[in-house]
Amino acid sequence: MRALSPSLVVLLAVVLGAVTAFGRGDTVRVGALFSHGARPVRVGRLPPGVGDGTAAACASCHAEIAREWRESQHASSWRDEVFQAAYDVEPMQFCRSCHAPLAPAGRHPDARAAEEGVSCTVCHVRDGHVLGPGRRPPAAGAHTSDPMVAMRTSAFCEGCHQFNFRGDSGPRGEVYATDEPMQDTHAEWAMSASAARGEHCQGCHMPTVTSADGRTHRSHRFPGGGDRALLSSAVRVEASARREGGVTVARVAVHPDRIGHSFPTGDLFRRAELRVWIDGDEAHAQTVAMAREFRPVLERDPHGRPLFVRREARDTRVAPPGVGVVTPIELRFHSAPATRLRWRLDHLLMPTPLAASQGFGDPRVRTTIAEGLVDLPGAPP
Amino acid sequence: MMVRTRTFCLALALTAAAPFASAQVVTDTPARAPDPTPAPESDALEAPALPEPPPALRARVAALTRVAERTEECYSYHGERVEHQPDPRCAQWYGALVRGGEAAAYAIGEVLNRPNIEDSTARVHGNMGSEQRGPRLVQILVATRSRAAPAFLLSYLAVDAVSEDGFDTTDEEVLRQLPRVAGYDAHPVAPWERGVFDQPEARREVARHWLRWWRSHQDEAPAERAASGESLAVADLTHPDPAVRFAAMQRLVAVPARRAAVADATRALLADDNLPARAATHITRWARRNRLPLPPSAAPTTLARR
Repeated sequence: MRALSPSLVVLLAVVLGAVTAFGRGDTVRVGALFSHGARPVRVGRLPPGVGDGTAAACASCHAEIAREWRESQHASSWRDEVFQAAYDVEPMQFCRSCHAPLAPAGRHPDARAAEEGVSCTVCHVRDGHVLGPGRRPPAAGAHTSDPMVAMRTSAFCEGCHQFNFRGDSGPRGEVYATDEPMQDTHAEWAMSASAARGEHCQGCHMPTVTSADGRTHRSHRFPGGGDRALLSSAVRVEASARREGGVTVARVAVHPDRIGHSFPTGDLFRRAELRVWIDGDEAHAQTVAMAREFRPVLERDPHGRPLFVRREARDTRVAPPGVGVVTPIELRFHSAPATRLRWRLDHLLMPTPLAASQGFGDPRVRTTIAEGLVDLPGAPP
Repeated sequence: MMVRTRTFCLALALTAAAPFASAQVVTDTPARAPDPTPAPESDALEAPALPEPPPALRARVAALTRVAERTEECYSYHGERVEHQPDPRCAQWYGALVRGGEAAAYAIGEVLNRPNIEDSTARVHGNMGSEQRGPRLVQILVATRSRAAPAFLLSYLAVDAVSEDGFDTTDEEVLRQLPRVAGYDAHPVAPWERGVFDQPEARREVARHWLRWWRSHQDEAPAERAASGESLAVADLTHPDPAVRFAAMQRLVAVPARRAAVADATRALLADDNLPARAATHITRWARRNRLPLPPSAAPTTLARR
């Protein structure tokens, strides 16, 4: 056998050292952790030091983070009443895989999987290892943590927040993934100026907060579509008004502000509504909807059989920052001369008629995130 | 036989029903003003005569007409029967029309040109999802590749343009399919400009355009129209109007010899500093779906220093 050259030995040592230092976490591909809804999460064997792997067990050491998580939509991903109403109509594995990822495939979630939702183990435990965004020395008797740099990037969120419509194409209900995005948040981010700047989901949705002991950590409250403050900072409204003959013209532009994807984003039913009216005459308000619209398109399935699939017809939402030029909306009011206009921008979980059909009143699905008043030029103050 | 997303379908249906259920005005943003120039007298909105089926097909056309009529039953107050209350008859009805060939074209064409095709289900009964019936029938009609298809579509368009009805999903589908039968879209209105059709004059203008096209090209063979359409579309790939350019890109993306040119045009269009935001997102998704390479800036990058 030929002896190894010294330089090769050094190279091998460097490579081995790097692999060891890098740890288990970075050997797990992000794509292997989540499946875009195709199947539940496979946590595998629990590592020592995490008890029974429930959020309650994690809370015994990570109390503050657990408290944040309990307030999050990840914690209520299965229990959420809006999700449950939709799931009643269409109980699919596709939904369970992300909303109750610890439930076994093909089974309704048991009490534990339902209660856990998207809990600590869903993101942090795989095959006997605890994965974290960085290496931290364990406290006495606690688990070790393998660093996974991808946990600090948008790629980590993509596995649940980016997926295509499912289709079925025959009497046996063969399911396949179409190429039409049902939720497109990661792709929206990828085309944004935020991505170009290297900013990731965690920047806004896991902001750095100060713990009780004065140290900082990333919040696990995951503020998002249910957070009014975050919604309000997402877009900026510029409104003006003018008279043209006997017509009052409102000109409103909705710009992306502190956001890294379209507004609104996520579920396909999400929408924003801009409502404009002459002050004192809301009965004649005009509303502009900002939402994705779909249509049936005659295509062929993977077996060559004709079928109708859903395709996006239009997307009238606020585009991600850095994508194209915002086109102002002009609304014309033919009623009596106005002195000022009012406007309001609402975020809706779903269209009002759909909410009503599922037993939700408007206040449950609507959040007003901005409103304003515009004086017409020449109008008395 | 359809995408299995019942919640989604219910929402689609309810969204479509919203204007009937609520008094609020929901508008979109008109991006282009209609041409204010009055049409000459000779440019009237005269509907082409509806083609008569060949005698040998009449019995089959009559049978498929009954099938096309019955598709009205595929929508109830609770939504599409195919998806919300699985009813195999609906899939069978649409399937029979898809397989019906030339006879299906005459059957659908006749049903499509009856007054108030959508009123019968959507507005009178408020049936959810029924706004999808017209677009489905229109697409099946075009998929038959019948030479009668353009006359049926244009007849529908001409009658609709002078009616008091607003712009609906069937109207939109007819306008979307006309470039397919024409081989070229000489009057493109991009998806992000759809709001322009809230103005009746814009609808009349686009109808006039297509009727003019029909009078000039009705004697050409489809292959002849397709060949000249391809040449025109190639020239449009550098047109300054994004809507025209996008129409050409859509026309050519499935032509293997033109894909490189379409990819270049896509990159150039997305790099345009004046491109409206809605156009940019729409084109980006379209490019992704058609597996066209996107500009490098659209790819995820490394972690930022924070």
